[in-house]
Amino acid sequence: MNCQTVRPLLMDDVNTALPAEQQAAVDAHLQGCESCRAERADIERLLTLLRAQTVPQPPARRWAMLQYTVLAEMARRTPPSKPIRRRAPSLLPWWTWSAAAAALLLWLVWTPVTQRLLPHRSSSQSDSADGSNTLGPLIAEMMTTTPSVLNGLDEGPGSSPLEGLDQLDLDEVQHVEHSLGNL
Amino acid sequence: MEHDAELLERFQRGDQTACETLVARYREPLYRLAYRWLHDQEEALDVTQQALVQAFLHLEQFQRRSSFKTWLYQILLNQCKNRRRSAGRVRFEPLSEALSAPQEDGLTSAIRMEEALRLRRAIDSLPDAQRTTVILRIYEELPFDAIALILQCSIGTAKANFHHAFEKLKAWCRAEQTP
Repeated sequence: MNCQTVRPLLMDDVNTALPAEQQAAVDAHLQGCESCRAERADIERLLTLLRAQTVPQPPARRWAMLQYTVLAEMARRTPPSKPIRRRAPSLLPWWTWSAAAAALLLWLVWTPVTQRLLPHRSSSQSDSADGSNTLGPLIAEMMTTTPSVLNGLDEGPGSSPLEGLDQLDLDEVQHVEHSLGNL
Repeated sequence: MEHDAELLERFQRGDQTACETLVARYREPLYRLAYRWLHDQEEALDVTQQALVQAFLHLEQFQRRSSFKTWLYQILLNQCKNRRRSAGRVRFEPLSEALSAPQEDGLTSAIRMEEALRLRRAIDSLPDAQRTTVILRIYEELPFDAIALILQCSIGTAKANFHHAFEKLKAWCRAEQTP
């Protein structure tokens, strides 16, 4: 080995990182070469100085703070994953639901009105076209909305809805009918 | 010890404990490198923190061509350069904290500290690539292929950078010995 081949190996020599064969060759060269020994001494001194410059170790609480801050920052900047809401596929087209809702609304609005108007109209037109009296069933139907009126009503099969009503009850029925008629 | 790749996969599936493990694993090497660049403990910790946050936030940019550690070093060095550029000058902490001096008398200690300060200035006067190569090679003991990846250069360039830097520092060392 000559100086040119030994010089690049000197740092590994200082670090004792040379393979055994190379190490022996370098050692042999250094014994007889003053210049390379000086070079090796420079490298060794420089490495010693460099390695003396350590880094101050932060206290444990500072590491914990760093760890916490990183995780908190991650949580703050990462948007929370939203669960995907999937609507169940409808078996009917959308307008059928609208139509059904409208029909229900109409039924709710019109049913009480007809219940109220029909008895009034029937009382003014006491007989229907075929001559049968429709007032009795209509009044009975109306009375189902006023349970107090039903006290004393005989619910026996085949009996007239007005049978069993005493005079007081009949007066009350007429009073209710009169009140509805004024509406 | 669980590999970085497994931890990263777990983190990407939403496992925060994987992130904690990776932070705990790399905070110290990153801090050491940052400190050797900035010479200020708080600044170094701050930059380390920022680098870790940036890495995890932009993990999709990590293409797995290098190790996760190498990628972290890249991010950290960019942060250090930005920080130094914005600060305008390098701050120096008291060397007493940064020197691993054995028990010595006052005069010897003062001489050693003065010498260490001059060496630090000599290192800081090196071009960025040479300085980083010296730090990564001497202190972190990284192989040249890893240094080349961090500095995004060839292995030959990394070796040349180290050689030039070391020659300058040796020259400084000789000059220091001359009375």
